[in-house]
Amino acid sequence: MTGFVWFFLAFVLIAAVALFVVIAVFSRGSAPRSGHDGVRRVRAVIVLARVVAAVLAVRVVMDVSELGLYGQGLSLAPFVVAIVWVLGGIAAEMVTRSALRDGGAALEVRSLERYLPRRSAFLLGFSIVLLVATAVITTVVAGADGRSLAYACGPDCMSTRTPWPGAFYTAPLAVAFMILLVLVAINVHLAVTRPRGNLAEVDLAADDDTRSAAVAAALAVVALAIAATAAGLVMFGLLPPSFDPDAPPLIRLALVAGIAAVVLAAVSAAGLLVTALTPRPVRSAAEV
Amino acid sequence: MQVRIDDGDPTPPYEQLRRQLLALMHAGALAPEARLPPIRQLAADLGVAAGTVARAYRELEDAGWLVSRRGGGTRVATGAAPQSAASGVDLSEVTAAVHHARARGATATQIQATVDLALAAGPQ
Repeated sequence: MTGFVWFFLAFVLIAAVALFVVIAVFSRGSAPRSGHDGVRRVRAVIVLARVVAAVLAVRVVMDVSELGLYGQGLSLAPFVVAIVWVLGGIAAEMVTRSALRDGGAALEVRSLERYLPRRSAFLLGFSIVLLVATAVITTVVAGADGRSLAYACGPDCMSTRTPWPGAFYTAPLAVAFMILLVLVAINVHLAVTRPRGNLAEVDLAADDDTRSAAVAAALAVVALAIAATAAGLVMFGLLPPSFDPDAPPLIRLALVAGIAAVVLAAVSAAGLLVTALTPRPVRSAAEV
Repeated sequence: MQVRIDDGDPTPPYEQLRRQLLALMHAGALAPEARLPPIRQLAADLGVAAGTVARAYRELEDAGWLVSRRGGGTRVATGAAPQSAASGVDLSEVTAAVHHARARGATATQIQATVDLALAAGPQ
C-alpha cells in the first residue's frame, strides 16, 4: 500500500476515536425505558437489523472495492456502506410497521420536524453542498480521460497528475449518492410515519426516542459517507497538486471546499450519532 | 386525545370516528384551529382505509366543524365553539367529576384521557 493509503487509514482511525470521545462526552444518559412489548420489539428489531446491516456492509464493501479500475470501486466504498446500512433500517421499519397498532390513535401530527435534529441536519446539508461543489470543480478541470489532471508548468512543459477525481470517479459517485439519498428519504419517512395506537405517556416518549434515533442514524451514516468521500477526494486527488505552484487556483478552491466538507460532515456525524444513541426529547406539535 | 375504532361495533368505522371527533369538539378538547392528523397517518394508526378517515373528515367539514386547506392540513373550524351543555341533557355530574379529579391532583391530560376512553367505549 502507498503512504497515502496508510495516511488515509490513520485519518479514519483518528476520526473514529474522536467521534467515540465526542459521543461519550455529549451523550444524554440512557433513553427512557418502556415496558410496552411493541415499543421494545421495534427498538430490538431496529438494533438487530442495523447490526446485521453493518456486518453485511463490511462484506459488500470488500467486493465493491475490487470493482472497476484505478481505485474506482474503493472510492464508492463509503456510499455503498451507507446504502447497505440504510437498507437495514428500511427492512427494520417494514418488519415493525404494525407492532404498535392496537385499533386506537392519538390525535397528534407526527412530522419530520418533530424528530429531526435541526442543527446537525443543517450542517449535513451544507457539507453536501460543499462536497458537490468540490466534485464539480474537479470534474470540470479533469483531463479527457476523466481521471487525470493536466496543466502547464512553464513554456513547453505540461504536468499531469493522476489519480484525479474527474468524471471517471465522480459519475459513479453521483449515481451512488442519489441512490443513497432516495433510500434515506424512504427510511426517514417510514420511521416518522410508523403507526402507533393508544400508548401511555412513558411508552409514547420511548417510541418518540426510537423514531428520533432512527432518523438520526439514517442521517448520521450519510454524514459519515460524505466525510469519508470528501476526505478521499482531498487526500488522494486535491492535496498533491495543491502544493504545486503551477497548479490552477481553482484546485486550491476545491481543496478548501473539500476540507470544509470533511469538517462539517464530521461535526454533523458526531451530533447525529449522539442523537441516535441518546435521543433528546422530541418537540411537541406546538413547538414544530 | 385519542380515538378508537371498535371492530365489534356494528356502526361503520367512519361514523365511529366522526362521532368521537365531534364529541371531542363539543367538549372543547379539540379547540378551534387545532390541527388534526393527516388522513394517511390517522388511517395507518387506526388500521383502517384512508377513505374511512377521509369520509369522516369530509362529513365534519360539510357540517362546518372542520376546515381543510391545501398544504395546511385539516383543522377545527374557527366557529366550532365547544358546547358546555347539550340541550336537554344535564352534564353537571361530569363537570363535578372533573372538578373533583382536579382537586385530588389529577392533571388535565389524565382527566382528558379518562373521558376519551369512556367516550370511546361507547354507550353502556
